[in-house]
Amino acid sequence: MGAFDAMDIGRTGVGFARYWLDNLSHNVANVNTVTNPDEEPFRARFVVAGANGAEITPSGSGVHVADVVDAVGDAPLLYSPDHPLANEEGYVQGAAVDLAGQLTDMMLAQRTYQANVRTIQTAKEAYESALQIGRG
Amino acid sequence: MVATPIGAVTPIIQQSTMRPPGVDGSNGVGRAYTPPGTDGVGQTGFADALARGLQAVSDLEGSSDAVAQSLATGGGASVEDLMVATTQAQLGVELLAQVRDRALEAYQEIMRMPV
Repeated sequence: MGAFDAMDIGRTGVGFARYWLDNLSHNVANVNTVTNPDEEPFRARFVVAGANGAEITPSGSGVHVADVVDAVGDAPLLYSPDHPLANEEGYVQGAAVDLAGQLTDMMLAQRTYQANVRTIQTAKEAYESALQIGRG
Repeated sequence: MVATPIGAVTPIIQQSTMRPPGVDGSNGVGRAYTPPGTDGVGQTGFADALARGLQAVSDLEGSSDAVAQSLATGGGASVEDLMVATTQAQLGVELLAQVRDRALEAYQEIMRMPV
């Protein structure tokens, strides 16, 4: 056990939330990405959290990105005959991104980030109050 | 990088579970008194403990600098890495200063003793 385990664990949570936000930004930024219907559409990336080892050690605890999976389901077909990527019927393929879901996830990611920052702050305040024992 | 600072603290925790010298007969009669925590744990005294504490704090500062450089040069470190590393280094320095103050206080208390 290290002296600053709580801070290091909180840091993994903050890092995970930041990576989650990165992926949400990527998904939202690509909400208008269109492809030819014969090609694979843009699919929203979902970050999967995985717990680190059960032991509370500096290197083996906290959370990590276990996997990043693509959204499933059919991408919407948009009628746009003048589009250079349109097929013979005049359709292009939109992005498989649920914008409302992404923005809801963004709120969750933001709260996750803040919660983990709070654990770091609380750990820091706890250490500082321990240092107060000898003071004065 | 953070496992090192506890090294200076662990013997203090251990000494509470150690039996006083002489209780089990391993410290023979007439042998010089050995403060608990200084025998059998691989250290020779406060000076060594302080030196190791200094080294641990120095390591924390070093890793904090490395993270700062990595962040500034786009080397993969993130803002939260830097903030945690600098906070740990700051807490390490404060802890070391507290230990020094307590030791100095104890020393001065003894020096003020009328003889």
